[in-house]
This record gives sequence, C-alpha cells and structure tokens, in this order.
Amino acid sequence: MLEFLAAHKPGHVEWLLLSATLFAIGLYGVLTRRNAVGILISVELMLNSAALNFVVFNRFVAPAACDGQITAIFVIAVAAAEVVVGMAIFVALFRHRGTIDVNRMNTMKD
Amino acid sequence: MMHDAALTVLFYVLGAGAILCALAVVNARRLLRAALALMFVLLASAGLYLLLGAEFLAGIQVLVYVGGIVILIVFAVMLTSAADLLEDHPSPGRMLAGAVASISFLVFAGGVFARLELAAPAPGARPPADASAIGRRLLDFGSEGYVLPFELLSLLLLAAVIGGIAVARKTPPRDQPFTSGGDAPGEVDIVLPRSQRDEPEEPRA
Amino acid sequence: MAGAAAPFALFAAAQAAPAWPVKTVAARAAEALPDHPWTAVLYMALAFAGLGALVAVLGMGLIYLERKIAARFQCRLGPMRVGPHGIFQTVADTFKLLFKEDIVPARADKTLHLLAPFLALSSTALMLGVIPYSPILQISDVNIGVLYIAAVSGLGVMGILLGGWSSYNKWSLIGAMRGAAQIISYEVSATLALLVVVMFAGTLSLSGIVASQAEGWWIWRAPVVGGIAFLIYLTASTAEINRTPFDIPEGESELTAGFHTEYSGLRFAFFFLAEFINMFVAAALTATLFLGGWMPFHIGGANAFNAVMDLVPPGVWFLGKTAFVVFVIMWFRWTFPRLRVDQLMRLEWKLLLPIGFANLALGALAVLYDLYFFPGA
Repeated sequence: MLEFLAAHKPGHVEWLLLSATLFAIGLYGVLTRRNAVGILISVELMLNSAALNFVVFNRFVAPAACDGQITAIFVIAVAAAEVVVGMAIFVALFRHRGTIDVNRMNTMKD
Repeated sequence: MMHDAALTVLFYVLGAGAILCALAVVNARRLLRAALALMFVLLASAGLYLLLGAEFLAGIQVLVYVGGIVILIVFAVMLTSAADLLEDHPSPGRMLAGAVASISFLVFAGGVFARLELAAPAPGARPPADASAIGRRLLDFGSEGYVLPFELLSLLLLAAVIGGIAVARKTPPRDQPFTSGGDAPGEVDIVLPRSQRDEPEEPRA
Repeated sequence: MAGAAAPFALFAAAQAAPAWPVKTVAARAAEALPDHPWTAVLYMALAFAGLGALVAVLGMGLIYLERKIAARFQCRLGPMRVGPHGIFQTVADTFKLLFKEDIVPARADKTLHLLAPFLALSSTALMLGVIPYSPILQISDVNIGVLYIAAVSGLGVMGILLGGWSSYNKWSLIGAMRGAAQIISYEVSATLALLVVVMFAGTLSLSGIVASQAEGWWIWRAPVVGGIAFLIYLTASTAEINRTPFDIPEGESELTAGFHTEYSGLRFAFFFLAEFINMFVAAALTATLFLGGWMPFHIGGANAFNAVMDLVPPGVWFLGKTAFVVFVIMWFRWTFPRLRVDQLMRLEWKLLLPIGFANLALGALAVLYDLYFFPGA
C-alpha cells in the first residue's frame, strides 16, 4: 500500500491537469453566469488556477529559483486590484440601475 | 517513502476537493454559496502550494485571497442584494457553449501536457526554505530582479483603491463640493435583502 | 527521503538557539517518524487532544474571569453560588447551553447557519497550534509564523459574515456587516504593527521572534517604535476580537446581540467560545511579539540579573504576561464607552493607519542604522 502510494507520486502532468481542470471550470462559469458578481467569481477561479500553474512549473522546472512563486504573488495582487475595481463598478451600477445582470447591460446610453 | 505516500494522498484529496468546490462555484444558484465554495477552492489551493514547497505563497494566498478578496466578494453580493436572489439556471444553449469551450480547452491542454517533456532539474535542487529568497528577488535591482514590476504593482494597487472609492461613493448633489461628508453617521447604509426591507417594492424601470 | 521532505519542512522547522533549545511537538513527531511511526502518531494525537482541552478549559476559565473581574469593577461579588467562589458557574452554564433547544430560524439558510460557528471556532483553534507556550511546549513552529497568524485570523470573519447573513434577521445582518468591515479594517493596522517586530527580529517564525528577545523585549529594546507598535497592536487586536470599546457588531443596546442573535444552544456556545479564545490568542500574541513570550525579563549584558530572572520557568513567564494582557483587555471594557460606527472607522483610517505607516518607516530606519538597544546580539 505504502509502496504503491509512494510510487504514484504526482508528476508534472498530474499537477498541470489539475490546474487546467480548474481553469476549464472557471471558463465554463464565465460563459454561463449572468450575474456580474458570478462572472467575477469565476474569473477569480481562473486566475487562481493560473497562479497554481506558475508554481507547478517553478517546482518541476527550476526548483532552486523562485520566479514562479513571485509571478504567482503578482497574479494574486493583480486579482486583488481587479476585484476592488470590479466590485466598485458593480455597486455603482446596482445603485444606478437596480440590476447587475449582464444581459441587461446592453445599452451604452442612460 | 512515508513522505512520498503522504504527498500522493494529500495531492489527490486536495485536488478532488478543489475540483468539487470549483464545480459548486459555477453551479451554485445562490451567489453567496458560490463565494463560499470559492473560499474552499482557494484554501485547497493554499494546501497544494504547501505540497509544492511554496509556504510563503500559501500564507499570502490565505491572507490576500481568502481573507481579503473573498470577503470583498461576499460584501458585494450583499450590497447588490443579489444574496437572496435565486439565480435561474443558464439556458441550455449557454450551458452547451460553455461546456464545449471548457472541455475543448481541457482536451487541448491535456494533449499538450502529455507531449510535454520538462528538462530534469539539477539534482539536489531544493526550493528556498524561507521567504527571504523571495524578498531578495523582489527587491533586486539587477537584471534578474523584480523591483520594477514590484513598484508598478504598488502603483496599480494604489490606483485601484482610488478608483474604487471614486466609482463607488455616492455622487454628491451639484451644489456641494465633492469632498463633503464621507463619514457622517447618516451615510452608513446597508442594503438589506429585498425580502427584509420594510418599504414596499418599488417597480424598477 | 531528503528530497521528498521539502514540503514537510514547514512542520518540522525548529529554531536552534543555543541557550534556549526549542523543540516543538511536530519536530518530535517528525524525529520519531522513520523508526517509530506510532510514536509520531501518538505525539500528534496528544497535540490535538491538548488543543481541544485547551479550548474548553480556556473558554470556561476566561468566562469565569471575565465575570469576576466585571463584578469587581462594579463592586459586586459576581457568581458565588456554584462551588467555592462560584468557580463551577461556567461548567453549569455549559451544561445548560448543551441541553438547550437548537433553534434554526424558519427561513434561514440552514447549511450556512450550521457551518458558520464551526468556521469561527476552527479559525481560532488553528492559531493556538503555533503559539510558543514555552521552549518545550509548542505544537508546530511554522517558519511563516507571523504570516500564518495574520492569514488565519482573517478566516474568522467568514464565520461572522455567514452567521449573520444566514440567520435571516436584520440585526444579525447589520451586525455581520459591521463586524466584517471592522475586522478587515483593523487587520491592516495590526499587520503594520506586526511588521515592525518582524523587521527587528529578522524572522517570521514565532519561536525565532521569542529567541530574538533574549537581550530584551522589543517593547523597550526598540526605543519608542516598539512601544507605539505595541499600543497600535493592542488597540487593533481589541477591535479585531470585537471587545468592548469596539463591540459594535454585537452592541446589545443597538442590535440585540448582533450576528449571533439567532443562535442558541451548542452553536451559540461555539461563537461565544471563539470570542474568548480569540481574546486569549490576541493576548498571547501581544505577549509573544512585544513582551518576550516565554523569555524572562533580560537586560543585555547584565548576566547576574538575567540569571536571577531565569529562576522563574519560561512557561510561568508566558502565562503571567498573557494573563496581564487579558486583564488589560477586560479592563478596557469597564473604562471606555462604545464607539459609533463612523468614529470606529475614523479611528482606524485617519489615526491608527497613518501612525502605523510612520512607525513602520521609523522602525526601518532604526533597524538600518542599529538605533536600538544591544544591536550586536
């Protein structure tokens, strides 16, 4: 049992597939959600999987360096900035129009 | 060997947990639950970072993503009173389009990964044990350093904060200066869920 | 083995200081793992059982203390009936809570309503695992200790937010929104104050920070800067745990009981317990970072004096300092009136935050030019 588990240690393919799956799920969410906040949540999912990908490559390509980790930190910081602005826009939009359904934001006037 | 076995078990447990929670994120009909599931995905990712030897990053992930971004999202869900809104399921056409797009991405990515051959890292290469290596690289002025993107990032965050405040604050009446008020007690208001408000529902345009 | 051990370095990191060898429970377990796997399991089981017992005992003890101290401030006796001087009062109260009916509001979101108290309590209990109680008693010395503390303490907000929202009650929701806004605001100041100590100690590990205070505690060894950071951290962490001058999320006279209005029985007990354990954690961290943790009162170079101080065991030093800070936090409750929401926000964003930033910059200068006591040590 122990030998089996130890022999099947996840390699880079398993790790990359995991992050690709998370990315694909996020993509599905972005394409199917109608609520703007829901779309933003799905985008966060995609950003997170991208950061995971960077760390995986860091671990399997150049474990002695930390460039992948630094890029992941940048991804997290950019995600924070994105959420701040996104949320402010949604709150302002909601106050103005009473809805944040993206299907009903098809007008540029008003 | 014990460590390898534990690594395998933890990878599959955390990975499966992350994928299940991610599915909940995109399928939950209540947005608040989607946000909660997102929190669990991010926590599982922090655990995966630990497995990859990126401890500092795992800490940052929990601190910024879970402690900041998810809370902000929950706030936005409440402030836009989308919390008690039961989302309709998306139309079949949308679901199909989304499924086709994401599955084709996954197939494509899987094909690439299967052919991917990574150069074996130098034997004995270990990830740096503590945060100081990351700190040194971030503030390094040399060609390998990241000091310029780091400073640009702080500029971006500053711009985001100012932009967020400017967009979300209430526009004052014409005759009042923009800087008035802001923290007077009357201005603190919370949008209660529609069903809990006292006033009758006003028709929306 | 060596290559695979990398991910687990987190759990086995031990600071090797010559005078005060630190050995954590996790390090002992990791040591025993290759030869005696069951000993390792036993160590970890003991650690978890100890954590559980600590949560229960601390909760009951602190609630009793709070009531007694409150009574003393008001010239009352406090609980006196159950046991000598009422020491079994909280035990009786616990049993009462356990047997109470568990009510979930009819239109509440049941899953989230159930989940919220667990989230609040578990985020608190997670922090107990990294606090250095004494050189031989610490469950795990994670090498990102301070970052871990800052990260995990942020998790508790989710419990409050979800508890308030899922209760389907106006007061709960308003209390939860206030609580979340307050906690994430004051977290900023608390982190800025933590960073000052991290800069002086040069490490994120909590044991390392304690070891760095062998020549003197940072509250006075870093002149002025340490004291200001201490005051900021004490204020901000009092706000983070919703204690009285900052208890607007559950202000009785405004919001009945705030975010836990609709909770009863065991799950109310969870919220209540989380609050008191939070107070202990805040006090323990203040003691660890600024008052030397388990490190006795040392003055660099005064060896005879230090030797006298060493006669008191480290665990007692830790307990004494923590008890003192707990008392101060309880004292606040009977000294300051509750702040209004806008006053609370003004205090943080217009007062504490600018001072915190200035203090951090001054601290950086002090570290750079060795402008603190005993810099060579």
